[in-house]
Amino acid sequence: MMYDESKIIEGCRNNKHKSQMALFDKYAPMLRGVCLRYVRNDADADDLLQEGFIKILDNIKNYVETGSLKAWMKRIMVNQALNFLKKKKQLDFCQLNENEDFDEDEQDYNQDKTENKLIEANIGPGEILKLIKSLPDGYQMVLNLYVIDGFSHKEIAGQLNISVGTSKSQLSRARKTLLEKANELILKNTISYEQEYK
Amino acid sequence: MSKNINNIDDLLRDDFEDFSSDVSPDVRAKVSNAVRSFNFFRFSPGNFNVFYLTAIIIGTSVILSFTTGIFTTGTRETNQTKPNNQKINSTVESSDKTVNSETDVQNNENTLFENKTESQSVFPMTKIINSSNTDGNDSQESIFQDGNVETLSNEIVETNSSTEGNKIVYDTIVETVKVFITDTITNEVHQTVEVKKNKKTKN
Repeated sequence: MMYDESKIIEGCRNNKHKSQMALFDKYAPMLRGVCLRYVRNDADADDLLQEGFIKILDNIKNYVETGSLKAWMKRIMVNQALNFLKKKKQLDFCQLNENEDFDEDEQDYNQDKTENKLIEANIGPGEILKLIKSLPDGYQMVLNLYVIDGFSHKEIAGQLNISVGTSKSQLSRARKTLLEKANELILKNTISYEQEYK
Repeated sequence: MSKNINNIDDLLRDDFEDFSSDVSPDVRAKVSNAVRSFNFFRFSPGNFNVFYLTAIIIGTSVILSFTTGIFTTGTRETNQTKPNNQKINSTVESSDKTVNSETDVQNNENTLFENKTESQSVFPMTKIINSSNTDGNDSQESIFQDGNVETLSNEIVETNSSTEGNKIVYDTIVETVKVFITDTITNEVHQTVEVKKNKKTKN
């Protein structure tokens, strides 16, 4: 049974279980996708989804309906993911070295190179997600927050208690590592393709 | 991939903006339970249910039983103290009376028997008090050593549970012993008087 979104929100504000579950059914797959980008396994993603959804219900009275509900929920889920990882001590902030050098020219070069390689290799979202998950925690976090969820470096610095420079350098290194891993994947795919058609 | 992607950021954003993953029915059931408990602990007048009512009733009854319990025990203590104090006063009075009655007899009879009768009358009296006191050798000692009636009264208050019944038994025993003592004293007095008379007649 489909409900109008404003009716669902109104029901959630009045703690109506039916409306709350209607909201869950509508947005849970998208929210679980967000969870999967931040945590390493499915069980943690499910726990995070549950905690995040309760947080959404707890804060739904503060939601202003002029903005996008989807973006608002996504933002809450990302913040919850950061808290979840801090609580589970899965955020390895040692990797976020404050004094790392950051070269913007190198970043642009790597960016173009990675883009071309990924397009040529025809790598899909599932494989890219695997590549992102294989990155160190700090790289993965900054890449997720900056590139996909649209946080600014200042916001990332505030969330992770690091400097803006560190956030930028982490992003640069994340891209570089992603490129290396993409190259490995492309090489592997090419070899298997050639073996198949020989 | 035939999309016109300018850089890696656009590629990632495009791939993951609507990235979704199926939610298993188990997870949905778990979330449903979590939402129910969230609603339960989040009180709102519009969501008033039988659980709130039960909690209110239990809470109120606990508070009431606790407060009235304090008052009841308080009144019980005061009620218990008063009659026992009265009883002890009557005990003291009765012992005084016994001594008085004994002295009356002594006044009537020879002075030779004064000390003897007094010691006989006081000793059984204290025994009676002790026998009415169900558990207390300690209390007996405190009577004899300190002569403090307050201490005795407090201890009797604590030990006697059925004060009214004990009081009746106690009074009966006191009366019986009184009669017994007066009878023996009078018998002895008569006997000694007769002995003296016989001696006089012999002389």
